[in-house]
Amino acid sequence: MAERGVYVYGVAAAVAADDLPRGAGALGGRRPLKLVGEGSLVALTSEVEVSWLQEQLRAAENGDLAALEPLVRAHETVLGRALDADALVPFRFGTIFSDEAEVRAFVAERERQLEETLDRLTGAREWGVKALLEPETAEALATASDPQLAELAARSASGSGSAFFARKRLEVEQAERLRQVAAELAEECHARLAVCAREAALNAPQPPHLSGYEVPMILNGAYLVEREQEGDFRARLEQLREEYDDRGLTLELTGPWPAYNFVGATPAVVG
Amino acid sequence: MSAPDRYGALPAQGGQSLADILERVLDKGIVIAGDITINLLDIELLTIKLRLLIASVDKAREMGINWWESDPALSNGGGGRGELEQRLERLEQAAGVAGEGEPSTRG
Repeated sequence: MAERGVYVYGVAAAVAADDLPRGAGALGGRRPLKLVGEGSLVALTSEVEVSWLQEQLRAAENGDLAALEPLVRAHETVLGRALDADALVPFRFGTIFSDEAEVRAFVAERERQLEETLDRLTGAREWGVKALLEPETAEALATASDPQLAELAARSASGSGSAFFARKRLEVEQAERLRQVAAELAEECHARLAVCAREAALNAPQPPHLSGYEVPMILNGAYLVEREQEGDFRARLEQLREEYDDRGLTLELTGPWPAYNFVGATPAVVG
Repeated sequence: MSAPDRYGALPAQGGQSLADILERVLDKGIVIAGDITINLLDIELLTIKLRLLIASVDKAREMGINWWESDPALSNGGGGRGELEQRLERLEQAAGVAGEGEPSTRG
């Protein structure tokens, strides 16, 4: 099955064609990036060898993430280079059509829907904000500010007969308090960042083995921010950092990203 | 790999983390299903994606970080666990069908 397919990275308005990458940088590296135009739209594509891609994915499925990494990075890098365009609808990794005619047929059939999505995204870019909470700091603060917890802490350190039970209860109470603090902080940060954004979305916090952070992530938000609002958005982030720095909270900014989180999960089913 | 990678990947500009990229390119973005795309690939991708997603969500829940699930105003489009489970179910059904005979055509 050495067939070739046409891999689609995303769709933009035809008037933005000059801002889209072409030539080098395609997934697999054998064929150039190419724009396929249809009506008012243009698809960012490259030819891929389907069996080669499947081979790579099988390796990834068997636990070899190193095989997947260059593929997903290539997909993202191509789209990242298209960020100069006013708007772009990113496609999910692994979207492959049989040939260019199929790409054109799909774009023609979905032209209106794609145009509406592009309109919604025009003039804005996606930014990511992750909040990480240092549990020891948050726990210590919660304990100090709560008389009941403070008393338990004093008793558990006392060396008396009830110290063991006091310590056990303290652990349970602290864990509960930590959950509350994490939820409050995450909601607060998300709400205040969302005010500076056209749209906002929440994703599940990444676990440490994926995130690369040892400190637990309590917020993993995505924000579609208008270019003119980017200054405000960053200022708001800085404000939150200063405000919560002594509570063990760290805020990480990523982006700009193609608007992955804001193109809707609605599958565009054809056929 | 005999042919030179003439159009090989350019270095990424941002140096984004793999987790951030996986989360976006495997789980977000427009999805196209139907005869025109290659279904086998689609299913393989779903498997990888779901595995990553489940690992991510379960770990978070283990840590008690699940407040976004209970607040409909904050949860993203009412997705969350229910949707994930449904998708997993669909995937299992698809895999079961594919194991017995021809893969079913969706769309």
